[in-house]
Order: sequence, then C-alpha cells, then structure tokens
Amino acid sequence: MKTPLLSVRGLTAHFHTEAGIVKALEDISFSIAAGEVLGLVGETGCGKSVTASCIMRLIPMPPGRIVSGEILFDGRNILALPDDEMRRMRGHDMAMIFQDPMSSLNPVFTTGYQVGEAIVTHEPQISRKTLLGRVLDLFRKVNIADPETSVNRYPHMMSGGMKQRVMIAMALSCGPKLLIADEPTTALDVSIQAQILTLIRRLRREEGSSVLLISHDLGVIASMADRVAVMYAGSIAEISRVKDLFDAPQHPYTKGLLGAIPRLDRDQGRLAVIAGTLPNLMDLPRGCKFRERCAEALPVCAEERPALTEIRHGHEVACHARTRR
Amino acid sequence: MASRSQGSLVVRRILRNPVAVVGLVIVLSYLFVAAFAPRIAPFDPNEQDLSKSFAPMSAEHPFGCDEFGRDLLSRIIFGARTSLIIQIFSVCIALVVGVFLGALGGYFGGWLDEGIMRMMDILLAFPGILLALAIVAMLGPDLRNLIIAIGIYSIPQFARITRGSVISVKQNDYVTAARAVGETQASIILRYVLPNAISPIIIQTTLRMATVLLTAAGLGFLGLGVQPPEPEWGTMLSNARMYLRSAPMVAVIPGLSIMLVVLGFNFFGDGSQDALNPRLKE
Repeated sequence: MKTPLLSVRGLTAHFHTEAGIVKALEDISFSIAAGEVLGLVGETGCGKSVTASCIMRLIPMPPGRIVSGEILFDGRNILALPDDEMRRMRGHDMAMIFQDPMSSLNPVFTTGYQVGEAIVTHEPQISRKTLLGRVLDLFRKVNIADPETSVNRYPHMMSGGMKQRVMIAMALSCGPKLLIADEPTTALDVSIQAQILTLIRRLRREEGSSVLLISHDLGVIASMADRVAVMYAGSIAEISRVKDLFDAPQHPYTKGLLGAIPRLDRDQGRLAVIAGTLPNLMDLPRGCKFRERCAEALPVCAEERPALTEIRHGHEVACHARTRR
Repeated sequence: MASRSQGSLVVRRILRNPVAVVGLVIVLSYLFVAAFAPRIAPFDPNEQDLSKSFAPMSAEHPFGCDEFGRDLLSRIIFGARTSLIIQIFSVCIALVVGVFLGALGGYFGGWLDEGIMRMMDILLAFPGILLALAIVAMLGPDLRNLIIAIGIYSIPQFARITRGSVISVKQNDYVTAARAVGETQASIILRYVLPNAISPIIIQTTLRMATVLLTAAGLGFLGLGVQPPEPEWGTMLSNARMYLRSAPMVAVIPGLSIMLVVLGFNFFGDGSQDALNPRLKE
C-alpha cells in the first residue's frame, strides 16, 4: 500500500481547565489516502473538531496540549514543524471549511478581497490582474451567481449558502491536498445543504484533493465518504468502508447510532435511543468508555480499554466483545 | 438588494440624534475657528493697548478687553487653535502607543499582556493630573512638553479599551479562519482584528479630546501649560482670576469656551457611541 497523504498516529490531546484536565482525544489513529474522503462522525463533544484543529494546528495552547502522538502529512510530522513553516502549509497544503459561514468571513472586507488575500498570502508576487482573474475563476467554480458583482460584495450582503461558497472558494484557492470540512452544512438549511454537498463532491472529483469530512449527520457521511471513522468520547470506536459500516456495523455504539436514525420510508414507532449519557471527559472510567451504556459488555470491559483492532480487511473496531471470542 | 454601507448608516444615526447634532455643530465650529484663526480674529491677540485695559463689551470688542487691553475675542479665537494643537497631538500620541500596546496584549495574552497591563495600572494609579504635572515639571513647561505629558497620561485608557475590544474580536470565527488560510500574525492583527475592534477606539478618541482639553486648561491654570503671552484658555483663566471681582467677564469667557467645547466633544462622543453600537441595527 502506498503511503497515505495524512496519517494520524496515537494522537492524544488534553485541555487544562480550572476544573481539571479534559481528555479531549485519546490515542486517535487513522489515515487518509490521496483523493480519499474520510468521514468522521460522532456526537457533539466527542472530539471531531478537536481532531481537525490538531491537524491544522489551530488548537489554542494553552489551555490545549498535545500530549503524545504524531500527525504525518506527506511523510512529515507536522507537530514538530516550526510555527512559520506550519503557517505556510495552512491554506496552501491543507485548508479548512468551517461550520458557520455567517461568522467565518471578516465583515470589514469584500468577499473578493478576502479570497484574494488568501492567495496573496501564499503567492506574494502575484499581479493584481492575475489575482482578480483567479478570484473570479474560483467564484465561478463554486457556482456563485454573478461573480463580477459578488467579488465586490461584503459578507453581510450575502446569504449563508453564498458565504459558505466563498469559504469553499477560499479553501480551494491554493489547491490544497487536504481539505478539512468541519460540519460544512450544519448551519445551512436543507436545500442549500444538498447544493453545498454536491459542490464539495464535484470539486473533490475535479481537484483530486483528499477530504476529511466531519459531521454528526450519518446521511451526509453515507452519501459523501469512502471510509468512515466513528468517534466516541475522544476515541475512535470503529473505522471501515462506508458500505461495511452501514451494512454490518460492529461496535455497539455504531449500532446504536444507526438505530437512532429517523426514517421517512417506514413506520418504526418510537425512535431507538442509546441508554445513559456520555462519560465525563475529565473523569473517564478505567475500562471501555462505552461500557456503562453497552448491552454486550463483558467483565474485561470494566478493566481494560479496548484497542482498535482489524477484524476484517479494512474494518477496525475497538470492542472486546468483537475481538475476544 | 440595495444595502447601505456601514458608514452612511452611522452618519444617518448620528444626524437623527439631536444631542449628537448639537455636539457635532459645536465641534465643527470649533475646528473652523481654530483652522482659520488669523482670518477670523479682528485683532492681533498679543497686541496690547493699555488705554483699553478692561474695556467693557462693545461693538469693536465684542468680549471686551483684558488687563493689558488685548482684544478678548481674538485671544479666545487663537486660544482655540492652541487647544486644538494640544488635543490633536497628545491624543495621537496616546492613540498610537495605546492601541499598539493594547492590541499586542489583547491578541497574544499571557505574560506579555500581563506585563503591559500592569504597566498601565501603574500609570493609572497616579491621579490623572498629577502624572501630567510631574511629567511637565520634569521636562519644563512649554507646548511640546505639555503635549507629551498629556499624551503619556492618556495612554492607559486607549490601551485598556483596545485590549478589551481585541480580546472579544479575536474569538470570532473569521480570525480562526484567517489562521486556517495561513495568514501571518501581523496581517491577522492589522486586517482582521483591529478593523473590527475600532468602534470603541473611535468613541474613546472623541471623548478623550474633551478630557485632554480640560487637562491642558488645568495645567495652564496652574502655570505649567502654555506660557503667557501665548493665548491659551486655561492660562487666560488663571491670569484673569486676580481681577475676578472687578472684571469677571475676562475669566468667565475663557471658562465658558472650555465648557462649551468639552460639552461639544462629549455630546458628539456619546452620540457616535450610540450610532456605532452594532446591537442597534435597524
């Protein structure tokens, strides 16, 4: 197998707060091949966005601290890069689309200026004329209506869907190898969601970038991703190809998640729920983090944290009930 | 979609507020008088005519004359010019240094912020005018040193306002987004943080114009400001107090001028504060 574009190994990140140490990420490992879309799903607070911020190195430190692990991008450990080199990689080699397009654009500059600014940061010698051409091309690429007028518009003059397109244009401005989309459609209404997802899918095909798609919406993941990683309380519970995950989920948590999807096409009565609540990240239990909510728990689950283990080709799961039979 | 720019919106909000308009009119007339002093003033402000000593108000001398028979109106007009020079330069010093320090501390936080703000606390620990007084006493009383003294003494206000504003602005998503496209720290501060943190700084600048004028007049009154015979309102007030019983108008008129201009800046500052408040969107 060729070396993956991004490979996260044993990433552990803590936040030091007044109340105690929040163990936001614990021993996270996954990789993304060139051109692949990896979906990252999980509930609010399970560490999806922290993982993305670690890859971009946008974690505020302090209070954040990466305790151990490495993030290899193109074979280089980016956690060890000097700040300035890391800054040059951001936007150029890896870019990020944020959750809320309403607040992700600077209100005092026109959208065209901001996209141009992202290009100038990485190509300072570019001429004004080429720059405008590049910005207009980008606006066209992300289907912004009337690009010539739109480049001169301020963010407050645009709708949420248009702003998210501007954010995507900005992210694509330097042709990044990795695009991190952190819940790119959560703040948008359903019809715009579909348009944005279609756009991301098309761009990924045209540009050939790898995508790390973060979402809590399994429907979005199913339609977009090649592989999925399911996160629970700061750990990865299961990774597999999308089809395998939906056809044959292995981890009890994944099963619970899939059972909790409301469906319009059949009458299922009350929606299934996962009993119990998330563990406190400041005071994690010794064994499996999901044990207290798990119907299949074994005695060993209280003692030992399960490690991610490959049970079939390309299908890894962190569950004692699956790996010790 | 016809959307008005933020700027014209602010102007319209100011014009709808009568108090702000009064303030604006006073400030504009003050600026006009100060700018065109030599053309407006009927007499040379320093020309003495002892025969006209304490001349009462008349058509020739609308405000009367002072103890040396100098035309009071002309001295008030030229005094406006002196005051404006003091205001502009000292507020500029405070603005540049204060905003720089405040933005640095607010953006980077940590020990740098801690260090800068404790330094500002030390400056603030002196009763305002005492600090300016000490600086003038050390440097010697003249216009330049007065400006430096008042400038230094106004730095902490700007640093604090800027810091607070920067801290709230830097938490916005667009600052994180700017870091995510690889913007440099300097560019983030100058293009993303400061322009969005500017409103309270503008308001502070207008309000500070008033305070600075008062401080300058106060120092002038104590004899540490602009030296006679240069016309300056505080100094004029100070000289006139000896004749308060016999010729009260010589003291009252510079006093009223100070009051009027200070009120004007305060009215305008308060009005623009309301107009620049983003929570009052139409």
